Amino acid sequence: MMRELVHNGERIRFTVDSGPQGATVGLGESRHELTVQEHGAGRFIICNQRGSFAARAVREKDRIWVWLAGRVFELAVPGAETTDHAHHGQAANDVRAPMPGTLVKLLVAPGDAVEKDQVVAVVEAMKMEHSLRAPRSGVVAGVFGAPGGIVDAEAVVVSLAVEE
Amino acid sequence: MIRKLLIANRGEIAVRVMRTARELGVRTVAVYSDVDRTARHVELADEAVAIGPPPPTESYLNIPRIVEAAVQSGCEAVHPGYGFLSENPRFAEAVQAAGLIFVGPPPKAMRLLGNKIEARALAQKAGVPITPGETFDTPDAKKVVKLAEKIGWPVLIKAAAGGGGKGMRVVHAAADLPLALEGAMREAGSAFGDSTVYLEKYLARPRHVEFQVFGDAHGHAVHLGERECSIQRRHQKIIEESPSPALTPELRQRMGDAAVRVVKAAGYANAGTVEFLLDGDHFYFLEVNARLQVEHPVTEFVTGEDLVEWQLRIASGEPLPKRQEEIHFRGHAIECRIYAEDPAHGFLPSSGRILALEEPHLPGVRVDSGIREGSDVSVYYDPILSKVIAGAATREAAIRKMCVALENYVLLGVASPIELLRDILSHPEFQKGRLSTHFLEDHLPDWKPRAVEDSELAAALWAATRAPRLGSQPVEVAGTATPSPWQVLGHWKIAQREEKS
Repeated sequence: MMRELVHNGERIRFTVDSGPQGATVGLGESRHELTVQEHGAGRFIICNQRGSFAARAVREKDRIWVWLAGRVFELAVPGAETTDHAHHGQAANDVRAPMPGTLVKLLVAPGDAVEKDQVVAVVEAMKMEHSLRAPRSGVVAGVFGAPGGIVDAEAVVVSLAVEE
Repeated sequence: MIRKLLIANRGEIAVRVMRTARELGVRTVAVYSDVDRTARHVELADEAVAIGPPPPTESYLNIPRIVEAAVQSGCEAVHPGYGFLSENPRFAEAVQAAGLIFVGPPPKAMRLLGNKIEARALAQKAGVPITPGETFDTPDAKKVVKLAEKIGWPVLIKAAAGGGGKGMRVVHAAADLPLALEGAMREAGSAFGDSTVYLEKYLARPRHVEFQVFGDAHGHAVHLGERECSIQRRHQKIIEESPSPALTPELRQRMGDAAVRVVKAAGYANAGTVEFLLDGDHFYFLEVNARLQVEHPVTEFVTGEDLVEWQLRIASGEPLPKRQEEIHFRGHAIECRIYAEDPAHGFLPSSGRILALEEPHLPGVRVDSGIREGSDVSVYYDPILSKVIAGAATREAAIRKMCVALENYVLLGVASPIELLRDILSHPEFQKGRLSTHFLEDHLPDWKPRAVEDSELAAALWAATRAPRLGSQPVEVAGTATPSPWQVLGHWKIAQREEKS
């Protein structure tokens, strides 16, 4: 069965064939033989040709986190990847809050012309201010929220008019 | 000795203060905001008092409510930790006015040193060099631009009441100054309740070296050596160590003497840190932090002293536990700060639930942590989760130990800088001890995690298919630790032996 997960904004298709001692993971052209020991829910020792590695995995809603020998993989079930950071998004029309916080400043209004990288709003979270910048030059189509208000992560704060 | 202590803080520092208090037989009272009801510091305290809604101004910065909690729970003293009210003289005065002991410097010394403008003047009077700077009464952008030009670009806008990089901006040109000034003042106002800022010359490649000092109520002061805190991001430290690879014994003595002169001139008591910028063998007084520092554990390792114990003894009226000539240094210690933030995306704070947590345990490694599995990391507070401290006979060995500790630190659910920290520690320039406050921009600009190899990805994907689902219900708190390959190897040996017999 072909499976699919999203890693770093990229859809990854793979297969898993389980055997008595582990599994074979098919990834593109290559096949990876794994020997596996499970020590309680989501706790594993995974052995491949490189050696044996401790791993830990948890899933919350559509996000899956895997710790593997000191590295962290944040994976998403396809369709849920929109919650990924705004930086990865293709949506160059929207300026989104990078994290939940308070909108302390809204520096533009609908109809304003903005330059690429111009600061259009300031969000504060954890006592740190973060400037939100226009992803490209254009005209502001709409602003959402008011100074002093709370914004959620990924909430659109300013949107730019779609260019013809 | 104080018999009962309220800790006016949260997170790892509240937990750390409680540990020493418990060792000394001091009963502890935690305070908590509504989102921290089940936090680790609350769980560890002997008693806990709710102090209000999540926004800090309504809870951890609420002076009347905290003093009331201390009085009503029968505490004799209040420990402020770091951040929040720790350097607020009005808080220290309110605690004393209620007839309680404030575990920290006298409010008068705190007021003097807490204002960076006055602290600079004091240092200068004590014969300690300072960086060029300018102050102003009204934040008129045009006037401030003129002052900046007098110092020479780039300049640093700093909060007079500040610390921790808050209310701080580097300005490279006149055009950027108005917005930077406004932002710095707003941030300073919200973080410290005082929006006064001033200008300082921005040094290009300085090292950040600070001295741990202690004074007592009897007019004595000593230093406990230095900490090098040059590795920073966003003007906040992320790796600290002691001793500094840059100091010769002669320079250490000169800087240590200068640090002691500053605190004596200020009539200081209890724990403090005198910060310097070091450029070659020239040092400049930066500021005094009138509190226990985040990075105090590295000093604890190299001196073998418990700084919170010193604080509690001095606050109880005892003299300094040791004279300068009785303080000896041994080995090398490094601290890495674990923040909930994403170093691959501009160090943006990351909030969420700690879905999996296994802190490293190995000889010579200490973890000061304020979280456990299932803890929620809220947007309201500083995103520090824990600190890893590794100590060994040499710097090289301490770095090696730290690398192993970080490699075995399981933290899932929020972003963390663990991989970046490992890359810094294994960087040749770091290993050679060639550090500056611009280390990251110079050596690891636009850092991204190392590329994932197919074999790793295959293993991770397999594990992902077996990940247990966590609902919105609280996550299981305790659990068996992920076994290390060594433990597993052990199992296999036994199994083999059984097969053979």
